[in-house]
Amino acid sequence: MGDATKLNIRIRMYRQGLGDCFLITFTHPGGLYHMLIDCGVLRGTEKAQEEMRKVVTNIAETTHSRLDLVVATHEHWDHLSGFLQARDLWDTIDVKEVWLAWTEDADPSNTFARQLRESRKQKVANLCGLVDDSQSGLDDSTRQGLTAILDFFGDPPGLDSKMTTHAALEYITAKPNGNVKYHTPGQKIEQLPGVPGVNIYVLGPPTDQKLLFKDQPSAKHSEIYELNGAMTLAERFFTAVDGTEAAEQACEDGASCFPFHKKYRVELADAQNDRFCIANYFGKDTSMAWRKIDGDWLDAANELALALDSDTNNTSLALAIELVDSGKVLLFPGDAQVGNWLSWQNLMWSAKDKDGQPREVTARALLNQTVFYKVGHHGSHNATLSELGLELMSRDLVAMIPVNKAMAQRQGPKDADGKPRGWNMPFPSLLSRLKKKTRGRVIQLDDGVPERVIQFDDGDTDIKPLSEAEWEQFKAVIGEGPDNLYIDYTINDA
Amino acid sequence: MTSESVYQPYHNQRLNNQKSADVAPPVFRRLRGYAFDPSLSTQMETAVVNEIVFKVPWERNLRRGPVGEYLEVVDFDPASRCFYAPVNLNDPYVLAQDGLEPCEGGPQFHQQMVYAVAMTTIHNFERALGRWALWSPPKYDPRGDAKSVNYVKRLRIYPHAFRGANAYYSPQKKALLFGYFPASSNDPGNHVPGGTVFTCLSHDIVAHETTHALLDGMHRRFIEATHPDSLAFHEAFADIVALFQHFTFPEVLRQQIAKTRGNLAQQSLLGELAQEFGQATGRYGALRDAIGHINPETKQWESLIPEPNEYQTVFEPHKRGAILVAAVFDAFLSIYKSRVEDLLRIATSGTGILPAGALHPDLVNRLADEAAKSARHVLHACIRALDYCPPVDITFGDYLRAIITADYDLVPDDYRRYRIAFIEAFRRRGIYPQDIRILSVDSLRWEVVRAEDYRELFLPIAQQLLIAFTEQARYFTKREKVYKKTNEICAELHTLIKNTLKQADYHANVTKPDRLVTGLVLTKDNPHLSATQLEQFKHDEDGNPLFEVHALRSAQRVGPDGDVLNQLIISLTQQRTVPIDGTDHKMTFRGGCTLILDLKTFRVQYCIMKSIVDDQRLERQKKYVRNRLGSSLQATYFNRYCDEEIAEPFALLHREL
Repeated sequence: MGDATKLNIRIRMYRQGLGDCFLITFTHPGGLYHMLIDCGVLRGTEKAQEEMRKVVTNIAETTHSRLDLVVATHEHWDHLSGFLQARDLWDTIDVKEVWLAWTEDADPSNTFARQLRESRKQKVANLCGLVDDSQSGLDDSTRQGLTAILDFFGDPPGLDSKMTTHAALEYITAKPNGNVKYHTPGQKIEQLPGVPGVNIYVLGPPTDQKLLFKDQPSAKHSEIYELNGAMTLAERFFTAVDGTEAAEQACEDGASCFPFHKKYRVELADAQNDRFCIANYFGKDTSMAWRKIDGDWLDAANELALALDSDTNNTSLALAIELVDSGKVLLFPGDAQVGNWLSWQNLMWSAKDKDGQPREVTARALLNQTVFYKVGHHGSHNATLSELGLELMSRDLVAMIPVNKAMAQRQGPKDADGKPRGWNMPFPSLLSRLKKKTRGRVIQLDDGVPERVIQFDDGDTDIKPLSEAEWEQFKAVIGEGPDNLYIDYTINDA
Repeated sequence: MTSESVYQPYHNQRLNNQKSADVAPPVFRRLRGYAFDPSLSTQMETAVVNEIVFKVPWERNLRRGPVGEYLEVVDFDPASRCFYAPVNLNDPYVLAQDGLEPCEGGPQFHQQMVYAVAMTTIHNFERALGRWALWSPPKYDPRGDAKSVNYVKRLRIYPHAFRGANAYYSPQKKALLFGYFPASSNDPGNHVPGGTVFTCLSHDIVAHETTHALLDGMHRRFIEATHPDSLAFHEAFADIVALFQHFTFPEVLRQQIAKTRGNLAQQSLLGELAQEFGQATGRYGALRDAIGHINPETKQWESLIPEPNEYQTVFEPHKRGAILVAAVFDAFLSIYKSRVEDLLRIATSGTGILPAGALHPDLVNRLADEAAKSARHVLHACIRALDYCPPVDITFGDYLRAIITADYDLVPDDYRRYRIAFIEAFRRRGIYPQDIRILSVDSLRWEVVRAEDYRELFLPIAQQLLIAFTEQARYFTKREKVYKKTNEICAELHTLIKNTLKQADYHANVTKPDRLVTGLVLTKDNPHLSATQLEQFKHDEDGNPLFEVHALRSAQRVGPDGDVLNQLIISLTQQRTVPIDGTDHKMTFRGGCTLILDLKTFRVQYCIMKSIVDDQRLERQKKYVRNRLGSSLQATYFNRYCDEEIAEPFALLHREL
């Protein structure tokens, strides 16, 4: 263990709200290296702009307006909003390099990526249109649920505003004057210029279509939404919403979007005067209202929205930062879901160990050495794989969850009494498992510095909580920012 | 028939006033449809067996729609903003041709097919149970007016309800909703790429959904997910009915037996459910294969080797349900094999090796007969077992015990060893009832009620009431009457029981200190009840926990030896509201018992119970509810714990495929 390469890494989680913003500072013998992973907060957060400006001001101060690397994991508002909300501040910050996933590559040769992005854009536009259309027959609960999911994309396209995820990505991509890298997993091991002894492995997003669209941990290859199938279904779905003649002609492959020929259709206007329809569906009063299905078909909209959200999450750029000397690994998977995690199993790299000897590195080995885990998707269930993920991580694990529970509770469709159902973040049993795995060292964005855990939720006595001394050691490497602006965790590579 | 319908010899009839020769209405209405899925009509090999004629019981007043006694088909397509004209099945041209010609492009045929398959399923149920099928009463829906409706006469069917690769039963609307969707462009199977696939044209899907509705009508608590087996059971049972219903089509049976040379364990159309559904969305082979599947890599069919620990490790409802379906199918195969042993011995002259090439048609017919018989027996056994299930919290183990007990009661002499076949099949899959480690007919049969427990079962006091009910029930001609009268009797029984509880010596003489016979705690000073538990109940004016006379059904069955079994089945239930630790949600915990009363001796034979104060069961349910729905984004964004909050449980369940 040479001390010539003594490395010190400080991970700063900004506490702006439900969103990711992590500043990682590497202190090495030659100086400092600053890396920023995402910068955003959920749409609808109170004083979002103000909060993000505070954050960006601090970033500027800490880095002396010079960021060596900015990583934008995926196209969701709660990871990108800060670039637009504090645009003027960003204008004064120098960004040397930007990393994105291969799915964001605008190069015309990358057709699949382009298709993905276009399809995503189209679906967002369609869903927004559906939500805004007061005639669409959506009930309030569905509308609220959809709106909440669509908030992940920033302002709806209809508003023609500049505050969209697309605009944010464009902005940050333009900053480093062309020094933008689009990463594909399993290829070369990245190095940080000037920082010795650090390897960065790109784990995801997978290039395999099947895994890219997989958000369920089921054994069968259950891709209900293969790219083409989903587009066709979505097309037909939205044509239905539109209902006009033009829409009917619009389907690409010439096949009609209606299941039967026009001659069979009895339009609603005529049906409302028809004896059979009145007797069996509309009824003379409200006594038959409970059997109607006017809005049920729109449940498909929910499905599409969820699929859209999960597919976008799955395109997250997932990085594992390895400190070669000690072998410690920091895992930043963005919001990667099951398919993304599973794809890591097949990856292998040829690296050199600290003495220069060649070695093979697998994702599994990286997970085994993970001492820091940025919990994906604000602690939701889908974004942390258990057996092939969390359970493999090391005993010294520390986790950070960028979640604001109060904010999560206010989201989602409202109940009959107007109370919102809330989003299930962090997922209780995942949180419980994280606490056990880290022996209490879970730092939640809204809670700040954690309390020592003396006993675990379910009374499990197999796992011993940390002793007072160990806890003091842990607290010693945690720092807090003024006014709850951020919380720091420092790792000494020794 | 009118009262003047006396046959008169022709020479006495005057031509002007001649009434048409009094012909009795037909017993069946013949309707053409697909035996499987339309996709098979485009293949030479299977086209000939795919179109069959369903024989549906004749309904006198069948109106356009069709709208009859049990069903109303309303063809509203909200996504296309239109209706489709209702078919008139009494049109002479339609009647003369055994219904409309099968055709995917005409909605009227879809209405006919949906009606035919649903009615066939209902008919099979009624035959097995020996009583009319009733739909479950509407749940209270805060958004609508459902609670003012008490009796639901007809199940509604929407053949083109939405655009999606799904179909489901809506307990709230008492309706079946069928979706349609474009066939996958990349891997459409036998469909035109981009063509439309209609779930309402798949026999299996329609039978499956109708069975959900029928099961819900019998056991309305079974849709509450309290155990990993709950939803899996609903799915599995619906699959079992769809699967075995196919075996009642003789033409198909013969063709398949000829093709598999009598060995039904190989892949056959009959063993594959919802074939079209799976094909169209790009997966070769059918969605839920009971006995085998197409390996997605090699595209070859492989049989499913039972794994004894699957039941302990697999929790996803469809996969778990598939274990039960596979077990029942396995039992069927054993039964079929034992039935055809002698035929094969004769056909092969003892060598056991069938001649190469096609089988002799006589042999095929005999094998088909035996297969049909075996299937009918298994189907009826599975349906009858429903009466022997506890009223809440069903598990596969309970269901096995129910099958064995129901069969034991009806067929005391099991010389063909059907019960052994079932036990073995379940054992191979590691399905053991709670606390039973030795699987034998004796240990699996529900315990017969001990004489000393009779008083706690309220039967002596209820005797008069129940006898009167049974007498009356014989003469009801309308389903609605049965429904309403049953509810009245349940109410009276409830009052009777309450009054009995008020007797001063009730606890001293009746309640046993060591066990809770009915699984219910009916009085506030019951020794099995703690103070905290008492608070979780709703109380009546005396402070006693509320209870419900959940169901009352009569069953008449005839055994193979001609013995008639006349039974009355009574269910009593209770509920507690229990907090879920670690959250501020509450959940409903239920308990109760099913009493099987033999009307010949007027003795309660069995009391199949789930105790309301069983802490172990409560912990299991809490753990399950906490972790449920965790594996989908639905759970993250549409945070739901309790079933009362889920609007369409089956839609969600089917979407998680």
